[in-house]
Amino acid sequence: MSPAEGQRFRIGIDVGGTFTDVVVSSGSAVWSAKASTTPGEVGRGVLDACSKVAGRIGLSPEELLSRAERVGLGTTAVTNVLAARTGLRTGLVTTAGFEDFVMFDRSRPQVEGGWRILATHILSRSQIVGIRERIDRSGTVLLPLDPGEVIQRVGQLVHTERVEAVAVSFLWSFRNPVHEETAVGLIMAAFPDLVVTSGAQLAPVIRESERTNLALLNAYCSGALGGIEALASAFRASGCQVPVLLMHSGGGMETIEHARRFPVSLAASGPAGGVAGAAKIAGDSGTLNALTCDMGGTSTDVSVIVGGVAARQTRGELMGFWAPLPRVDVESIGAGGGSIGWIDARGMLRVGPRSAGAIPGPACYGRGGADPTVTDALVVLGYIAPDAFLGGEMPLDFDAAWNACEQLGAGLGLGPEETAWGIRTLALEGMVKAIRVALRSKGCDPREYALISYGGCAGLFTADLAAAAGVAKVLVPRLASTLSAFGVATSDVRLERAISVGMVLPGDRSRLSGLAGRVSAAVEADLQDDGGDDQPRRSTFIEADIRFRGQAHELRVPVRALQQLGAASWDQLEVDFRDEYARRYGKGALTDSPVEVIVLRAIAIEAAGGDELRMSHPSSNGKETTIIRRVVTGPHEFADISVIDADTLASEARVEGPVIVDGADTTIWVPKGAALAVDAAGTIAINLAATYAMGDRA
Amino acid sequence: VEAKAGIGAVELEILRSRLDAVAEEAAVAIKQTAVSPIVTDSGDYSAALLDGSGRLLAGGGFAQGHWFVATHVVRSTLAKYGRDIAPGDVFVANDPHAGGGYHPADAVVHEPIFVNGALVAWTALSSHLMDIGGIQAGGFPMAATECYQEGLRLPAVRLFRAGVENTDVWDIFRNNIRIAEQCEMDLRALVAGSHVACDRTAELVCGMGSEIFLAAADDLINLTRREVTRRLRLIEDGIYEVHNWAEWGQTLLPISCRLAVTEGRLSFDFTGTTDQTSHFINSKPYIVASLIGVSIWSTMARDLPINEGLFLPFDVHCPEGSILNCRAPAPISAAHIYAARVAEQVAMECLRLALAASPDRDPSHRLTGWYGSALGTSLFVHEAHQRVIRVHNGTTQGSSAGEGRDGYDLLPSLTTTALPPGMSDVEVWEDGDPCLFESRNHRPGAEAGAGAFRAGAACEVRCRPHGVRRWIGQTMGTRAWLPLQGAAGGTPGARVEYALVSTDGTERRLANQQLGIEVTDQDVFVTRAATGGGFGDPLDRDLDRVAADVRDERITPEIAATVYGVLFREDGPVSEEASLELRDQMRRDRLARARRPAVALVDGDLDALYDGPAGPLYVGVVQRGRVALSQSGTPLSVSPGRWTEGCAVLEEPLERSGGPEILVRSYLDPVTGRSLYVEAVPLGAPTTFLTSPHRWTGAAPLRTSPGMLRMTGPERQ
Repeated sequence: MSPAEGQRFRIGIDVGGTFTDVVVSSGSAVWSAKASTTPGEVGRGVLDACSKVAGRIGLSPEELLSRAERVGLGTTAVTNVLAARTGLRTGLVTTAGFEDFVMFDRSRPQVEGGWRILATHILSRSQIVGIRERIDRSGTVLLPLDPGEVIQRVGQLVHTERVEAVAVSFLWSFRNPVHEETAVGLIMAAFPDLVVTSGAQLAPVIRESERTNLALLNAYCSGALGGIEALASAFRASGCQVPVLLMHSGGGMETIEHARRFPVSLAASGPAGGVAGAAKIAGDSGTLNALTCDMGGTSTDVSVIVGGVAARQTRGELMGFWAPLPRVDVESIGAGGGSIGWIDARGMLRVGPRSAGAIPGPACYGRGGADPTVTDALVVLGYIAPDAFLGGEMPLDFDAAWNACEQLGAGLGLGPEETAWGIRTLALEGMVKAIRVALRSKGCDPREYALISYGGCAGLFTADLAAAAGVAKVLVPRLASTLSAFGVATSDVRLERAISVGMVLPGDRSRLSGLAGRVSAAVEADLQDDGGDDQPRRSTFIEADIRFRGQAHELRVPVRALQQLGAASWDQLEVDFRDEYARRYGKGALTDSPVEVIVLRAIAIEAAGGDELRMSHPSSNGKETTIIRRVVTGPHEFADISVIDADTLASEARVEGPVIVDGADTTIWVPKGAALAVDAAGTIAINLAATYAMGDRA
Repeated sequence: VEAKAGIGAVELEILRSRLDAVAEEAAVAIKQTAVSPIVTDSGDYSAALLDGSGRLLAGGGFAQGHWFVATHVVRSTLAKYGRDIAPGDVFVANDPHAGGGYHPADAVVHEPIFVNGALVAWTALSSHLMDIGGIQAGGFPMAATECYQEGLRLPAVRLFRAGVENTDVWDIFRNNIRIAEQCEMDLRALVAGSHVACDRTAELVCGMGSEIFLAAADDLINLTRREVTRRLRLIEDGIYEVHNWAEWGQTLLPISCRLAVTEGRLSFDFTGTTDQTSHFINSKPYIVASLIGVSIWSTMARDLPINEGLFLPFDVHCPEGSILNCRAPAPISAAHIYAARVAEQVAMECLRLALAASPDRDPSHRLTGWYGSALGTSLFVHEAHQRVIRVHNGTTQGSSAGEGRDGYDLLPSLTTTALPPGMSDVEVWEDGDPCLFESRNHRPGAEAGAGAFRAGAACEVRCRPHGVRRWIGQTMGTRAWLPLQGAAGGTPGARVEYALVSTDGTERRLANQQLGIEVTDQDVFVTRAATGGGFGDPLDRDLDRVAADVRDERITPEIAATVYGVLFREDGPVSEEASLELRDQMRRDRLARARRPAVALVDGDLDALYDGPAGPLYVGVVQRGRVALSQSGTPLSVSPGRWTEGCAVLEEPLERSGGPEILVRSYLDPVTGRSLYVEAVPLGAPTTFLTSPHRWTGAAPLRTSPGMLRMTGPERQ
């Protein structure tokens, strides 16, 4: 049935490593499609996916695009450039006397063959030049900058090192940017072809190494947007009348123009889209606090949603570099569907972090993989039906999975099914550990949280995972595998700017208000630059990075919307900080020490609107289709389990476990003692009985 | 797996994974509730889980050295209180002389875990408290001459008795330390972590039953022990010795280790080590054992879980009353960073000698130069009050080189994964303390640590008071005199240096342990961290690598010529011909300057001795029957003599700056002049190492009498 004339659509596209997913929503209905990602030519895979989904709607691709009221794109373009180290040849201009520590490796240490392995740096030492200048912690100039020296040294970088981009980052430039701004201006005027970035401008926050890294990475990936720009023109040529918005690392959207100035903001676009989609699903189900668990081929990403908002981090490791890039806080553990089971030096079964990846992939993919993976284990145990994988689009080789488990088991004195059970259980243990530590480190009480799982075979683990972590409820989106695209389709435009403060409260409140006004004006100007004039959907609010004086870490605490900002807001901020601190670390952790505001951040939002947008799913009103399958439910336990076809699951249905729900998109395991319910949006909720606990099985 | 617990391999691994998770969760709880940056930022904290008898099961947090120390603490508490230990008791101990941990500032909170009335497990958590009382602020009272001056000394006492807070002990704690509020919060963070670990562990044990849990704990320990032992069996049985010195002021304090390797068992015997001193550098055997265990793990067993089983295959003997096994009233505040680190270092050098003599060694058990015992920190206070400025940044060493690999810049080792403490950003230091960094870069002058593979660069920090008129404080450095050594003929590294530079540019060296230093805002305080040693003879360094080091301004063309024998053409590139010629000349010069071997062997006469076992003795030295030969085929010695006996020996003084006279002694191939082993020793000290595998000492008996050997050497010429 073709949609009504004049019907408008929201389109979300997620370009992943293997597949490009597209989700289209009309507000009342949702369609999705998948196509293979075309590396090096992003546009083709995207257009393929759009054609497919347009066909499902009953439109031509041009009709679909010309009726788009919003197009969002999640992309790994920048991620890939950083991962493969294929960015621009970049130079660094920094304070003389401090050049050598730029190369210092602060990434998580790895060991290979007995050696510690360092991350490959994007610079060589000869691409770093030191300029004599110095500003102290109060912003006072101790040694003035010599313009001639800047031009001369950058000239060397250009001529000898043939750099295409230059990052400028001086000590204390976030407190007094005069030298950095002067140097940037000089370089841009003298070398108009160079890409020039400034650490203080991108992130005016303390810690020079992190600011420097951000400026460097930004310069380095400035050439990465070519494919996206080409795609945007292709869309325009097809009649698309709205700008393509990009999902940035912070879980919001930005325009291509904004991304051009701040390309590194796309570095963690992929995971951000999924978490944004999960936050939307959680909100639609009336759940404000949730853990998300995204199980991919090589890893599982865990993040936390508090009060409907994805937890963000303002600093952390990015492809081997510590950088102050605001982004959705995602903890990645090395256990995914492709993680390989192996026997360690003690003769014990282990799972991951080595993964079979997409090529050769699990043994059951029949692409030459011989090691048993988590997916193989799930096939052997009966949780995944070989003929129903991806809706039957990709038949799996049961014998290959069985043989792989059998072979590994021989070394352990275990049969293939026991081995498979071991692989599944150990993968689960790894995820339990990550979730517990994630909750503990954010001071969260698991009983107040729901677990949202998506991606690959996550649905087969979630119920057990939730039980072990003390979470009472599980949500599984019906279109779990295209959740990132859904997040991209539904997220707000969200831009952020920071300004350095360094003030002990109560302090000079008018100065605080003045700084807040300045940073807000800057971020609102960013939003304005991005076009559009939809004032009613716009809002700006202020957050503070705040801590007890002398601490090393700050908490990020909301101040309040700019319009209501007054002297009292700053008193309230201190109260809110202490409350948040006590909530996380216990009342006993509070001290009487003074509190200091380190940074103010202004966040400008342009709401996506479309409150009615739901990831609804056509529900069957008929009888559920059920078959019976033999499933391994314990080390030596088998049961005949009902398997319900997900497409025949009625809305508002309630089913008692044990049961498996099998769909094209995801497969869900509901253990004994737990119950499944479908809500109006099609989201499947699993409620765990109090009596069900991991301990029962041991 | 011969499992005692009667549970399967999978269930056993699940248990291990859960114990790990419990320890990690407890560690996260400490980090989240502590307030001091040394915990929250530098990561100086730990959480260990032990079984009911005090055996280590799992550890969390970054301070891995704490984990095995925890076993000493819990065992001491068990011995002290016996059956008088009840659920809800929470103990704290900090005195290494009385059941404490790493050093007095690292208080150890420990709590028994009971299930159905039986003591099944313990927690033991520790972090660095910023003060512990005593004659100096900051927990490192260098002026102390006995432990009574070092601050509050707690044997195991109860912070909580049966769940009820023991306010008396908290009162004593608060009344004895300077920044009581901050330290109390950090101590309570350990209690918070302990409660997390207790609850989770009790849950786990209840789920599986105490008996099965304890048997499974045995199994996990045995799994690690068995695999560590299997790896140690690949090491050639025999005796390996290394002698080195700890330093205090002008005095060199001998620390000797004799390692006996016997079928996969290691015995480290420190007999010959100096007596305890009246400075805070004394230590305890359990601390030495912990350091050695973590080093063995990091070299040979990184893929294995750390538990008691790692520590069972080796033992440590430190003579009673020695600096490594001191008795009260010896001060002990630096028990984990001074003499104990030298002990760890000589023990690990013994192990590396053994690995180098082992034909079957696992290639991933890497040979490198020395690391780990060089320290360059300092403590200052504002002139106005007693707030400690912080331990200043000087510990970012350059690592020793290893086989086939240059050392890393600003990292202590090629193989361990620890980050150097104090590598925070300059802005973080300047924000917190009244200081200004003039520079923080690679230390200039990279002729030390030379080799076919060279050491990495260390850092030099230059800073001065800013916003205050002066600082008063102390340097706390090691290795002012004896550098870290290289391996396989690489030269020793650069030593730790402190200096004050005044406005006119004159540099005044400071001692490495000096009290009462005044730094005014007209001075620049300079710390130069140590570098490790090189690997292999510098004259064997690849020409292109030398050229790259010159291009990167790591070394000057002059050092390229004088240390590496590399010359450049006028238009830039390396002149290969001239360089090779220069290298030949330099090797001939070495031999000319060297002492000829006391005994030189003539190859033709030794034919009868070549029968018998063969294998490596050291890098570049092999055993064939009863003869040790260098790579060039030159016979060096006959079993059971030291292989160095046949080397030409070159001794050259190391630049002296007011301390004891140190020689760099190179053992050269007497024919080619290649450097085979280099040691830095005090004037008059004999050879500091011995490689004596049983394969060598017990080689087939002589079929010709020694009298038949034709002797050559200086005495005949």
